[in-house]
Amino acid sequence: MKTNEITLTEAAMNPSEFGNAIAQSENMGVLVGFEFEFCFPKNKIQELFLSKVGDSIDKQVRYILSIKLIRDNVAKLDIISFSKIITSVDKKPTLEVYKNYIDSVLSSFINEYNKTTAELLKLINGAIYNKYDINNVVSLGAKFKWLNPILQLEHRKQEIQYIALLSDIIRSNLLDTIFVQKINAKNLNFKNQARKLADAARFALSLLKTADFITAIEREFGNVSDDDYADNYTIDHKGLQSEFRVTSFSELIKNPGWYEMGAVMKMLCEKYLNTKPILFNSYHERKKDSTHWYIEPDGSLRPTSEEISLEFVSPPMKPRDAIQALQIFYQMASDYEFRTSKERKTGCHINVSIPDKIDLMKLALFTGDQYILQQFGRENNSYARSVYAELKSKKISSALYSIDDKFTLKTIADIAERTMDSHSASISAESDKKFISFRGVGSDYLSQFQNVVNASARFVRSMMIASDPTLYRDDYLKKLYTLLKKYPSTTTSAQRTRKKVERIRTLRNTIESEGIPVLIIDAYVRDGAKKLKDAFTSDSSFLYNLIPGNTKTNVGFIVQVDKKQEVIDNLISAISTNQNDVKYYNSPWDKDETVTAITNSADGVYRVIFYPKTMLGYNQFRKRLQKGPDKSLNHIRVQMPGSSIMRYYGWRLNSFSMMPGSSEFATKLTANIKAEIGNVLDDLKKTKTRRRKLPESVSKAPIYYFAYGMLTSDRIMNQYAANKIGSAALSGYKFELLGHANVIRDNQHTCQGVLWQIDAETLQELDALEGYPDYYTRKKVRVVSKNKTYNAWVYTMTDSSRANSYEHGHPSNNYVNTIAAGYRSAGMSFNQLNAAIRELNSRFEEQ
Amino acid sequence: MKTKEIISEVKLPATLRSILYNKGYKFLGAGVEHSVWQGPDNYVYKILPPRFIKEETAKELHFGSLSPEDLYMTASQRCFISWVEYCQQHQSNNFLPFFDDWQPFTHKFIRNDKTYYYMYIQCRTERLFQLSLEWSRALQELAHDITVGKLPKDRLYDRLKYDLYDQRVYEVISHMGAKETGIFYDTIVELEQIAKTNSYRLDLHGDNFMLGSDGHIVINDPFFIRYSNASTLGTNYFNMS
Repeated sequence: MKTNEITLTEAAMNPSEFGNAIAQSENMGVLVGFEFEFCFPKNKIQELFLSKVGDSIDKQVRYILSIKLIRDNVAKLDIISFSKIITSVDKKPTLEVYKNYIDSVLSSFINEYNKTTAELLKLINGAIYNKYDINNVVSLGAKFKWLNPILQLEHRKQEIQYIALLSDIIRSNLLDTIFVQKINAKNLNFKNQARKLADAARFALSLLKTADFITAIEREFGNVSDDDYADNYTIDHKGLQSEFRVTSFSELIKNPGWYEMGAVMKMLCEKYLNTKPILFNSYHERKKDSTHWYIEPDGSLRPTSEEISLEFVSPPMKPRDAIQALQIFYQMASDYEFRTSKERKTGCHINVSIPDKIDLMKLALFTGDQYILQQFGRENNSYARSVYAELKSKKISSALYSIDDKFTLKTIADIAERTMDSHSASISAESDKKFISFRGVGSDYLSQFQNVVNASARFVRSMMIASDPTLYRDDYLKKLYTLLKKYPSTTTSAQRTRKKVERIRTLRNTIESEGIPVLIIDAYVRDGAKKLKDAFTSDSSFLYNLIPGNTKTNVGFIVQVDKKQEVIDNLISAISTNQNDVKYYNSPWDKDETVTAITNSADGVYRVIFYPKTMLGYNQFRKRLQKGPDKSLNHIRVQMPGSSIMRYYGWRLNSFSMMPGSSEFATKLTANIKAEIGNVLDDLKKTKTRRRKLPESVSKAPIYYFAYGMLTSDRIMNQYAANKIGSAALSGYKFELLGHANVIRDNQHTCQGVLWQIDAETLQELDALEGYPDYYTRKKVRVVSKNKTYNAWVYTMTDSSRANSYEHGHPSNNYVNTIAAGYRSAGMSFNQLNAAIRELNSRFEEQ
Repeated sequence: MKTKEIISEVKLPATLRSILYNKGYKFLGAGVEHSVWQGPDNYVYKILPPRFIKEETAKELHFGSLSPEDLYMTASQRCFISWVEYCQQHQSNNFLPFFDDWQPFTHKFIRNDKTYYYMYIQCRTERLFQLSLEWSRALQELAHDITVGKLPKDRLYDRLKYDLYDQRVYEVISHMGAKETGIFYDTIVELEQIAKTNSYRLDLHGDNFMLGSDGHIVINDPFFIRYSNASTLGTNYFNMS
């Protein structure tokens, strides 16, 4: 049968069929659920929340004590027991209520503690008495993962005894005593617990004293003073005090958060859907049942500061009910201005379950997920990859390699299962879930009600088709044939690789037989050693496949950059066609560091390929150049046009020199390289540079870096994990311009620059960039920024490199322009740069 | 503090002191080498009296050209300066305080006076024993054990983390992994060697372990002169004025 003779008939997929599907599916036990991702505007939340709480001080206090207390993690106490108490004592916001709360928390804490430690205490007593039976002690330590069992046993015993003492204090109901005990507590672990409780108490007291409540409280208690506690807290809890600066209820909800949103959503759900949803605080909570609506955080959304993003999950419903619920949700969305996130494409997942077995391949073919994706503009969304497209492109063709007599429809079904068993497939049938999640709907879905209804019905229909093997059987087989007809080409990727290997081998052999030095590449690689090692050892690396088993090859790492492959291919084909015109050259100073150029002078075009074996820092390389065996060689520096590419891939070529050379050669070479990699460069310009964020732990032990040259530029520093503190002044130092920028000690000057906060990893990266410790060294200095003094690292040239740079160095125009751009972005004056340039020029004039 | 040190404390003249107070400086204390003040920028200024500057140098002085070689130094002075130099050579070591460059004390009134004062600016550190007195004493014992060779390097980590466990200093110790404790150990050993070669005495008592602004333990002024007499300490220049 010829392919073009086949005409395919589609299973009908139109609104009237969808309507039928919804009606029929009720009898088949189909259930439908939704996961709506959207952003809720904060002003609406605030408005609704205020209307919910109203003027009732009672409610306001309860709100602050319960929700605010827990949300800010001031004390992670058992809020459930608190809410029980607050409902049991006549709902009055008194200090007594709070005392009761603390007591109840303490007693529940102690109950819990006693329960878990009763058995432990037995063991401990036994172990302590048998202290000298070291095996016993060690085994107990291993059981509880203690590193020093004997010491820990003593600790635990003291702790338990202390808890017993505490329960007596609670019985006497003296909160103050607890505080006194807390201060005097000798047992450290207990003290930690008691401190949390005391913090909570203090927090509540301070809230009760704030604006809205102060009159109410004073009427009840007279003046409440917590000065007695304050003395004990000032040393340890300055941070907490600043957290407590809350003025009033209305101030508190100015910036509503997750809990307020939850309260409001609950209210809306009662009004619209007549149900009470359950609010989760963290991602992917699994404790769900099939009767409730859920509200969850959603990490994939990017809300603005005026919005809160959430995922609103429905229970599985009968299809008619689901469509009705969908309608109500859309009403709710339009009433309260729900939005989809503009920056990141929002998803609306539709989950469908059917009690029968599903043929997943059939489902994939009949759903037509590519149409849905197209409709919602999500063809390129990585969270909803088209299953059909994927089957067509990769999975099927690779499976066909292994076609043998046993190849059946089951084989194909397995392929479909593998493709769809993923969280990011547009039809996601994960093996641990009892339903199939359709993820194709999304983007600006809130404005496309009818499309969402149609899509839901389409999914229901395709599920029904896929569950019955007799339905549309012929169509299914035809569709499957269309999918399979695209056979792969005769040469496999392995064969292609082998050819490439052969070409490269030929190239290498020829290179080795030649011996004329021509080109030196000046390469700098960040994390070079590691990358090179990976390139030669990792199975997935192209280099590894290129010359298997050859760990000492000097084939350059440039080929590991995927897009560069085209460039390399062109070069190789040039070599293989014009063997006679190609010349190969070795490094002039060291055979092991083979750096090679290939020139094809027949058509007057020069082509280059470089294979540096050893990673050298830029400045080390400069030194090598100066020490090179043939000093008569003429070095020409060529600005590498692809440096931004290299930087993108984590490494860079600063520049390279060549010999024997002429400026003509250099110009042609540059032009040629530009032509070769121009396309790649354009592609990469469109991609934003990625920036690693500073980890939160950095603020504990901050590292500061004072930049005065090129690294004042935001554009450059954005590639590193660095936070800008602001412009800064380094007194006692003078800015100077040699081959590169530098500062020297001079008490009559002050150097202006920019202060960055960085982490240890960035400092290492900067070290590599600045050629520390050979070219630049670094020292700690005092830098003043925004009237605050910091200990910051600053790079200064080493004595030898300064002397060298002083005589020969002249910065390039680009370099100076970059510094100027940096100064401009930091809002600094150009005075010191101008002065340095004047000084530099006058020195050269003298020479 | 030794008795002789107390006798020969540096005392700045009253005019200078009053000016410093007006400028927001706080007097922290005085040693045999310097008068110690806390600046408005929260740094510690260790001001050296002009007694120690060579006269011929002082006449031709211009700012920026001065170095410790231009000074007459008592043994006690030299001892302090070798400590500062050690810190400046090991700026990456978090257990050492940060000292800014050697520089003249640039206040207008001093130039008018034609008197030059010199100073070291050091990072402010807090007293560790305010957190836990027992622990700062324990550190003293620990330093002693290291210097006499009682405590091997691989035991230090366990000693700090488990044997000397104390909730109050948990934050301080949590900064120190196995690598950091190794550096701490090496620092103490190296200081001991410097002390031996220069006939200083390594004086790591509890008060010499301070707390840096980033939460690290910082060693402070660990050297003093083993055998001191009046000539090495010098007489007090200011007390005469």
